[in-house]
Amino acid sequence: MTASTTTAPHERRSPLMTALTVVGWTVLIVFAALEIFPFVFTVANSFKCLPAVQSYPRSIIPVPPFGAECQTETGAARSPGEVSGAVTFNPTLEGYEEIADANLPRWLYNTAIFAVAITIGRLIFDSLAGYALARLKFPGNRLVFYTILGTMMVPAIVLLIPRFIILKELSMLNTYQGLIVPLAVDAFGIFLMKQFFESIPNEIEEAAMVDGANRLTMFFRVVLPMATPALTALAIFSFQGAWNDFLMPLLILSGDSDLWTLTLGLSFLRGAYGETLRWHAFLAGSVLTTLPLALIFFYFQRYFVEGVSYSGLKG
Amino acid sequence: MRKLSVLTLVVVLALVVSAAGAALARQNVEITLMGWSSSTEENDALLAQVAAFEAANPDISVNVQLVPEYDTTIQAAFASGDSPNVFYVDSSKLPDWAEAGVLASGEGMIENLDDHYESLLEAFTYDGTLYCPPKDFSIMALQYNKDMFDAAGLDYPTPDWTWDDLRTAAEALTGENEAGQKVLGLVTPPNFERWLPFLYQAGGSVLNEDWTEVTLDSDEAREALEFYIGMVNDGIAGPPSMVDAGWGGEAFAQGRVALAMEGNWVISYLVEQFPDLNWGVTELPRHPAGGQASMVFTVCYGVASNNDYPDESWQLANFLTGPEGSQLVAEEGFGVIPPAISAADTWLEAIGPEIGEGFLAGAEYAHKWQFPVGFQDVFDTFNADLQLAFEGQYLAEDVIIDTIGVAEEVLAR
Repeated sequence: MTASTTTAPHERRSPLMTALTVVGWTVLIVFAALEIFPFVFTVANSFKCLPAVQSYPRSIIPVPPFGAECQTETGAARSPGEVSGAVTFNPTLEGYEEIADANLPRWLYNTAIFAVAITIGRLIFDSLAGYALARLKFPGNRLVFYTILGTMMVPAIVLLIPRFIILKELSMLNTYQGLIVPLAVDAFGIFLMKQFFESIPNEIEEAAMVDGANRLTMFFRVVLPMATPALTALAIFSFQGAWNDFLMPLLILSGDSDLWTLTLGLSFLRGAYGETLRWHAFLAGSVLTTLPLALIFFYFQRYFVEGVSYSGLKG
Repeated sequence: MRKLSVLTLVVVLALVVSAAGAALARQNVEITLMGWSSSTEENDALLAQVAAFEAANPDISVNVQLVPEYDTTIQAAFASGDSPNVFYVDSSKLPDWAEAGVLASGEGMIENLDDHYESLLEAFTYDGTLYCPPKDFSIMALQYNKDMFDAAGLDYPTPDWTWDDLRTAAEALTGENEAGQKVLGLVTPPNFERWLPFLYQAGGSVLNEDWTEVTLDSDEAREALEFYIGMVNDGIAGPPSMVDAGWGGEAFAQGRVALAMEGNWVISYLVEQFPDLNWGVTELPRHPAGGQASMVFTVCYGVASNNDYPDESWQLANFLTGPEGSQLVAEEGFGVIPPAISAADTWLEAIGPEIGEGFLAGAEYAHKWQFPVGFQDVFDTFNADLQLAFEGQYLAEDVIIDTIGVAEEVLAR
């Protein structure tokens, strides 16, 4: 990090500049608040009793007693006024207990398996395919590349039924591999990797070749380590995409609730019509769905920004 | 010659093996039941019903699949020819699915016909064929906020209220709450199905008996629509959005309207999420000339036409909808009403008669929610026009003319 030049001590700032800065900050703060508050409300309401979510959705400050009881001794719902006010509320874990009972640990586990497996698959196969298309000369090279590129133009929804039928014929519906295998390679990733490999100077590979490396050694020992920025971008996109995917899991896994992902589970909790939606449990599930991804994001934030700017330049 | 006998041997062997396989499979048949998820309690009750069925039929096991996004999932299953054996069918979907040929006919297969409401069986009859036994149902009724009635010094609504009583009460109950927010007498969602009871009460109809002609060009339709829109234009009723709510039940629960016309799905919502609300239910008001009507929204257990185990599928559907299966659900006392007439008393007891009766009474005279394939376009037109009429930009007449135009177009397809 280098010191910012705008804060140099002897620089004079015109009133106009100051005003602009203030306006700029105000705008930024307003938009940051707009982005953050929905999440604050989600977290706050996930810790309320169900009636309190309805009557006092805007209270965001938790106050003791913690672990408030949501039911009276007779099992009826307690009045929302007893556990919440306009600004404060007594937090409870009822929503989290409900969602834990609703098989959430299993959904979390499944989602993690899918996201990790799909990400690993894409890192391996996309980079191999991208490298082959970038470097190997074989008949039909360009045809293959444009065909792969072409599949990106087909809206995913069009492939819904054909995909379902193919997987059914292969007896892969309602299995882990049914979701992982079709998603373990994707056209965007191949494209991304190919473009990156083409930007690596040929001379480096020629030098490795002179030192006696064969193609595969060269790929894994020389080329791949140089491709870290592209691989990071690919990993982040794949992981996030797989974690949040709804349509494919719905199509492939909906028959076996033990294989459901978080997105399917949350949608299931919402019910068919929404009137029966138990907000506190639903929001608790949303928090738990977001949390792992958010933590990964914070941890890899630097790479993520790099990855986005990289793919933004090239893609 | 030798070659031939080997071949014969192989064929015979294959036949024996497959026959044995079939016999073995017969020992334990697995059928799939697909539906959508409701509340946790309802899902659990279905599983309990199925467990009771399996206990009574040890040779049949049922794989229950309650899925999110039911319509997408089942469409994919139909398209691939891999339909579940038994599945939920909403009465509004029946014409569509019956036309598509995915449903087996229920004629002669459905038991306990005497124990089912006429209005429900009618909802699952298409082109003269009864397709499936009703799973449960919801009826529109009138909910009223007791505290608001008390504060205004009004008597609670009764089943013999007419449109005039509704209007008078709505007028008296319109005002402001303590927070200075607008309070309306009645919530009137801008939806076709919410207006339909008024049309039927007035004696009107949307289509003729055999669905060949649009019959909305009538005095009854005009009267019903003018009444519905009139209350909004006079400021004593309005759509949920006018009182910052997403749907009628929410507007009612938040105390922003004194009267609502929701179905029994509103019960668990109000009881669980708004314990402080002091409310009651009665039947929908009548037309001043006495005409009574409501809407029934219902779902049945359809049996797939493309089905390896039709007999077992019907056994399951009949069990779930029969007296025994209905009792199991009725005891739990959820919002939805069990299908068997014999289980009605149990349900009333469990839910509380003062709440249940207003809904249940409508089963006698409610109309089904079912229109020809493609009628969604008609609903969309009507709903959009109705919203404009609420805002004073359209007259009832404009809405009717538009709707008839689209409806005739759809029928001509």
